[in-house]
Amino acid sequence: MKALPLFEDLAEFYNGHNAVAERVEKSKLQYMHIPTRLDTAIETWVMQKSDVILTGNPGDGKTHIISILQDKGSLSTAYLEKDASQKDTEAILKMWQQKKQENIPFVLAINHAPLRNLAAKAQAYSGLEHLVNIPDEIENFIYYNEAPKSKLQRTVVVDLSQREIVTTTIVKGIVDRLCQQITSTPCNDCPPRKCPVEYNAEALSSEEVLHNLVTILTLVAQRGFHTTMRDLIGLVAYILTGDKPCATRWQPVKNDDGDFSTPTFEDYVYYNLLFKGRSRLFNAIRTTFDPSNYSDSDSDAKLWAGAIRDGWLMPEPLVISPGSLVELRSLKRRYFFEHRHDTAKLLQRTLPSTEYNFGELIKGKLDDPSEVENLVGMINNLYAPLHAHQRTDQRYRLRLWNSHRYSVGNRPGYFTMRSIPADNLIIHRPKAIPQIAQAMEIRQDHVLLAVQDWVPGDPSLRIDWPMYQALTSAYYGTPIEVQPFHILRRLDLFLRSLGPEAGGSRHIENIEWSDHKQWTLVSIRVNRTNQNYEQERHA
Amino acid sequence: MNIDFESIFFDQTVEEILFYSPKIEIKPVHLANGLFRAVCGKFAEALDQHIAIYPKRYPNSNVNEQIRGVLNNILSADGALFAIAQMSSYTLSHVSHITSDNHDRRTGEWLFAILTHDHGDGLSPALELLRTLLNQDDRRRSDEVSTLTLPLTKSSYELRDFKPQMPDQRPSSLEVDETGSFCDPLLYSIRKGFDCISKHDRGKGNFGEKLDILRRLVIWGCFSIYLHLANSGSLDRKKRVPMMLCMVESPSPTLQQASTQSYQWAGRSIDKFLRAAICDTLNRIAEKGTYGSWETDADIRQHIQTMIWKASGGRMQQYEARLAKYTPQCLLFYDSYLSDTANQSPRAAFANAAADMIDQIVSSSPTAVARSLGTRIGLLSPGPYARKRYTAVPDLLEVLVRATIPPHEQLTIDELARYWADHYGLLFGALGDENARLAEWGIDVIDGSSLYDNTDALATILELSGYARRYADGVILVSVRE
Repeated sequence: MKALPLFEDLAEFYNGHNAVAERVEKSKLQYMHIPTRLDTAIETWVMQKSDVILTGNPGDGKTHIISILQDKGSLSTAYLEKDASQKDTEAILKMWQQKKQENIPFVLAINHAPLRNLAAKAQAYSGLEHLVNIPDEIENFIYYNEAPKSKLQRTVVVDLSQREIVTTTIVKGIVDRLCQQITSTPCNDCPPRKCPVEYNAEALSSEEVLHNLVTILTLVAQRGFHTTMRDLIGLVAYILTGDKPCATRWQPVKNDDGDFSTPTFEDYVYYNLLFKGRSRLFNAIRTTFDPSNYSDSDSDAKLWAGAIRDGWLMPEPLVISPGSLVELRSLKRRYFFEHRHDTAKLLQRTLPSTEYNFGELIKGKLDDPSEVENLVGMINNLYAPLHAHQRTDQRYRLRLWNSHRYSVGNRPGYFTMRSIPADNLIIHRPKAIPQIAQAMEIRQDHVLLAVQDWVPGDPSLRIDWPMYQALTSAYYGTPIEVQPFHILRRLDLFLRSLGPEAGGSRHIENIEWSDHKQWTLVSIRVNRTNQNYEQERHA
Repeated sequence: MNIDFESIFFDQTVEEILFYSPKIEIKPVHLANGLFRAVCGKFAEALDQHIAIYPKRYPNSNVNEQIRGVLNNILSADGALFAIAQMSSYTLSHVSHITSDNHDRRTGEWLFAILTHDHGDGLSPALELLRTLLNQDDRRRSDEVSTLTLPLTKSSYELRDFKPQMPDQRPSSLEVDETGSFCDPLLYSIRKGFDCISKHDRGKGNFGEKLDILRRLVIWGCFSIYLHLANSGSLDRKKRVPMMLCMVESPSPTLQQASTQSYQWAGRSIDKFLRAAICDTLNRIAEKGTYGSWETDADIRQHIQTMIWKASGGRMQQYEARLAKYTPQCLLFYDSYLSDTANQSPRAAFANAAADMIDQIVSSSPTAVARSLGTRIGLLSPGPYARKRYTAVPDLLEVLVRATIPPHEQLTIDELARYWADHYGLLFGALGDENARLAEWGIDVIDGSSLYDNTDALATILELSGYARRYADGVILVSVRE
């Protein structure tokens, strides 16, 4: 295998020293840099004399980008503050004020919390008062309906925590970088053509395999997981090397039972390592989609019989009939990554319908009015579960459900007096503000169910994976009592905020009472003027 | 002259100090009924309404059976609907639902006195908010519960005036100093909470939020009563009895132990308060000499032998039976305090024996009242006494946050923790000095990782509820975002 130092570098990217930009040698940093549109955008903003604030979570790559552009010399006209999170806020503001007077652009990398601090104190610094609007700018970094107007003068805030880095371009960039030297230098420690690192590098260099890897990472992102650049580099490093040098790769290892066993080739192939690593991202992948855990009516039986001999991207090792379930699981993973097939169709067959439908909702595959009706139906059904034949206009009017009890505990039932037509609601998808849209892609992990002509502050319900999962599970019979409290709270807030949309009091009020335990709905009409009941029973 | 034990050593004693009387289990809905009655100054007790919503007792009604079933479900959601309207507290949302039920044991009136206290900053905005919501015009009732009951009260909807029982001479719990300020700073914490909650909800309530607002104010009222009772025995008015919240689902043994120990301090505090109060009462009646001498062992034994333990009437046991049961018990307690081990004077021994007897005499001891109220608002975990611990269900947490952070302001989780610790004695792990604070009460140490996990769990609930935002480098900002 290639020279050891490279392997150590790779290993250090996985949960180690090289994962933190501030600690890495310049040469390595530059080597690992994946140029994106954001680099060009920052250079352009600086050329235009704008101040640039890079903010986000640790590991998002704030310091890394500034360091790279600094070394490239493209930020020579700007004052750079690469790690403002560690510095005194007043000192930063003083320097910023000074640079403002000198007409020198100020570029800083800073975490969210200190940035808020800085914004709060900026009011006292002449020329920097506008920075007090930074929290709003972060809030409005993504918008849904109309792009908000920036209140910052010649200052661009880039919130890297909103950046979607799980794109084919970025993942391919990382894989190419890390594989480059592996593929060029043969391994001397493993048996010929049996080095898993070489195998992994060769496989991941295939566009189809890479596409399938990005597909899984996209499913993870769709569930709301924010992958940082640090996470992603660590993942690729691990699935290439298994965190072990080839010199010690084949030594017996102690298993969970305390016995020693010699590792096999399969233990070190990327499609197995992807479900074995230790990090937030690996955990998220394991809980999102492991092809070995899902059945596929088209391929499972054939794989079990060893009947699929053609269509493999990597002809070796030869595919034979698996001798155990463990081997079948491994083969199923390999099939997902390395067999020529339509991955979208495979996912449609294997993924649970909830996950698949959520993906379709995010991508906007179905027309939005139909999706609105589906969501309205599911929300109504959560509060007032009814048998399918009893669901009349559940999809067409959103009831504003409520309940009342002073002691804590399960609610005795839900009632509603107001409703709004589903036509009054619309689905919005998150978009980056115009000045950022050209610089980076943002995460697509939710849609907003909102009123028509929505502006920030208007009623809206964020339909993300936990919410969609809860609504779907309710539709299939999960009782409201076992739904997570935060889902109910979010729904409550949404339904309360819709109150004004549903109008004021009416001459005749129709109050519906849902006994969710009995799956019944009683409708009672109250005539306010005559002060009497006019009853009507639905089910 | 025979002595009415319950009346003299509990009712009068407690009335003079607390005013409210924690001797029967108080449910949040009782407190709601009492507080709303005091705030509105009215109650309805509409008979037609009661008949309609209680089909079990009144099978005949001109209201449709199905509607009656729904009404019963909704208005008895808190389990305080009984055959007699005067003894029922509905799960209410309108002045027409208020009854004269006294199960709140005057807690409503006590809280009302705090809300009406004006020390230059006016009355509490909670008063106006509650009055507006509860007195909504028949044609504009905005919530489902009061709209649903609208046809029930058309013929018999007559509000009666509520007669306050607060004496001119304020109870010592509401005592004010020469400048007009409450002597007990805890009352300001309570008042500030009501004010803060109301400011968040001012101007709302016409479109579905009314029920939420009522619930929040009532939960805060219940928390206030618990807090007041738990600190009733505290000698230092600036120091709060600790309440170590257990926010993780499976707390570590050290956290669970500390939480349980902190809960036990609430019981000790109430017990201390009762003993001191009874001792004062005893000294006073001894000085007055109304009931004769209380100096010698013989005097006291004579008093115990002739004591009327409980006021007669109702479903209570007959005089002879009570005498037979309680007198020997009291003598046993008395003898134990008089023994060589305790070595107390006859009067002190009787005061302590009388405090022990309170648990036997009243329906629920003040400690049990506090425990049940705390459990019903989600401050205490359900389950047996020995395993009780403090927790905070998301609904209560929401109320605590809204009572702490004014509109348009935000606190870091550390600031929130400090406020809660200083004002309510609530601890959850964000301060870093929890163990030092608990050590002052002799409570065992909690391991650091448990405190960290506990803070994280609380922050997660706040975050999921939309009240907190977690930033990089561990900073958590808490605010009430509408």
